[in-house]
Amino acid sequence: MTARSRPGYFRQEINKTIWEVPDRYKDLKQVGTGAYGTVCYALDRRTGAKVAIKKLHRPFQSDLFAKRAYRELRLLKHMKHDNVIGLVDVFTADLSLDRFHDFYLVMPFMGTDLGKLMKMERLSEERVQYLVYQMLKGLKYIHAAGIIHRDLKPGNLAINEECELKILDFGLARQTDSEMTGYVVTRWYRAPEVILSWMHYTQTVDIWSVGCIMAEMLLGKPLFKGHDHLDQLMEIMKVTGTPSKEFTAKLQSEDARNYVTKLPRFRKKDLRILLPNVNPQAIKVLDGMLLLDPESRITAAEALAFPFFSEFREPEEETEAPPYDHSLDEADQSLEQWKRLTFTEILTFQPAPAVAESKETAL
Amino acid sequence: MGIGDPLEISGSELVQILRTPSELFASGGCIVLDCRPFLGFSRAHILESRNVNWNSMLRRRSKSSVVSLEWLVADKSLLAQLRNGDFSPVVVLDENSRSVRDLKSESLASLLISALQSEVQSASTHICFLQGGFDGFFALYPELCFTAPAVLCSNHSTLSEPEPVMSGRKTPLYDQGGPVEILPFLFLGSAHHSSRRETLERNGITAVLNVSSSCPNLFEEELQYKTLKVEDSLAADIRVLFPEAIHFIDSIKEGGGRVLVHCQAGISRSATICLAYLIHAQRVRLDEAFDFVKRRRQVISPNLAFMGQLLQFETDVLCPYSVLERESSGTAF
Repeated sequence: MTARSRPGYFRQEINKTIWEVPDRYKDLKQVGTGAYGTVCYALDRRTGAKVAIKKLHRPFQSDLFAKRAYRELRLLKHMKHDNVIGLVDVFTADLSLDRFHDFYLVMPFMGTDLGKLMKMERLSEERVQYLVYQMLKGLKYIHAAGIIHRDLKPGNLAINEECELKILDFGLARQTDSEMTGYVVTRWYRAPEVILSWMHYTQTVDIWSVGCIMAEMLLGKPLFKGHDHLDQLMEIMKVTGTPSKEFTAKLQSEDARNYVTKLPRFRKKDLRILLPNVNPQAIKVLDGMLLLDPESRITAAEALAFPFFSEFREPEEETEAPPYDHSLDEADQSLEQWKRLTFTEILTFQPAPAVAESKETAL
Repeated sequence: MGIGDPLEISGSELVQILRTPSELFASGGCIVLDCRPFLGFSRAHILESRNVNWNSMLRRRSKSSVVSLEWLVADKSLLAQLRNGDFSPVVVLDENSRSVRDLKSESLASLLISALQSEVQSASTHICFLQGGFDGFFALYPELCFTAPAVLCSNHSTLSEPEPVMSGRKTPLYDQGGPVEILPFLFLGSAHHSSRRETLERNGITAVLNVSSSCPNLFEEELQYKTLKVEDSLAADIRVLFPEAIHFIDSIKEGGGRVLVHCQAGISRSATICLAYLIHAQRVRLDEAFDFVKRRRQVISPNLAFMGQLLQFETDVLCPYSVLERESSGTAF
């Protein structure tokens, strides 16, 4: 069936998927695909900027998918910070709620991610400073909204031509216990309390991840390279030392406490030995981040004030996001209700006003 | 002004400079300063060249202040050497400009040349500009350039792909090999394996022990099933199920059959049951059983509470026996 395109839109088949996109975007080319959607690179005629357009895979096939789609859209709309991925645009070719079935998220196109970058060559100390500074600035913003990323890793840190960094894929789809416990996911950057499956995380799970990433940038290889979550825990404890009785007492599960108590004893290792020839100021940052007890770790806002970042600091750019209302995401709604809420969010999208700025970044 | 206009040099002249041993320079040697964006520099650059520091923050600052050499050269010791005139020539290059006249006043190369002219103390320092930029040089002399592995340079999605989804379209890598044999009558696998008749037949499976809360039993007319409902969580008590599971496995063994133990992913719950069986039947310690199973199915990873329960089970099974008997049973594998 060849239906007519909506005026101002064009239709294009890309890898057996029909894309229906405003005339504003051109040169569409698929650059990625996954279980939840497909991403195309495109040029924005209006600004000259490169963009990434993400088409979600059947967002309304179930209540769960619809809830995820709604949550992703709301979170992206909420994020307005240089170091956090946000929306350039969001659109649907569907003219009414009853015909609504697909929508597309438009975000800035970034050249690569930190994981790929670290494989290219060793980063200089100045680059590490600038990149970690940007991570922390982005995290301060996100955390102020009451949002926790939960899965920071080099692949979730997008980097553009000029070494500008944006945090991606945050706060999406909180995984269940079983998804977090042992299933095969990248776990080298996950905080010990995630591995131990505490029921309540704090924002400092993300600080642990930044510490692991920063150490890897300086070392040239992952700091805690466990091959399963039990081994991961051992690798961590070889550096942080065996947990104290006070820490172990916080574990909610008696069986988990039993297991941790029987682990071999380790003494805390001096990071200066693990990371020789590294600036002592960098070691101080890592010492504040890689602490077993999440309540002892520094926050993103505190970390920004460390001397290691003073070269690049712009305190006026270290802003905080307005609070994010989680209750809307947590509510139980029917598929039709999620669909209506999503449609409303699309209609009420307001693009960022600084057109000149986006043209500038397109250079 | 101590230093005049930049001297334009060709690629071949730069090659001559680069190939001159540093002892032959009156100065400390040549330095090549690359004004291209950071990512382009990471992908490919002239050997020993240095990338000039630039980003949106500095661009904003440059609209209201004169650009200082300190901004452009983040490495403090290099900055000091430049200011002292320790390097000559100082070669500036960009992407592909043919001449200094082609440069826009706000371009990074222009800003760098101005900063060098203002701040370098020595009158003997020569500032040079590379005609044709990096692109021109690389086209003629790729052997004098570093290039990052090609695959990593292609444009890929900056939106990382989601984590592997167990219910997704593709079979996870660790499940493509089929269930693993733990003992001649005991196999460990996932829901994926339990749902494929040909996989079950190929391994001679006659019974299935389903250790999950939601996986269906698909071949009830052909296979003997036992279902033990348990969640993979720290709150779940899987240990209460050990006797029942062990009894079922033993009954299949005595009947000459073969049993597949599975849960959703074959990582936590089903692995825990197999570990409990080995501790019971072979009288081995948990860490020995764990290593044994892990060598066969590398992905196993019981949650911490299950490990704690297995440790307790180990104590219950092994403590009533003598040390001598434990050692002899330890060589059972």
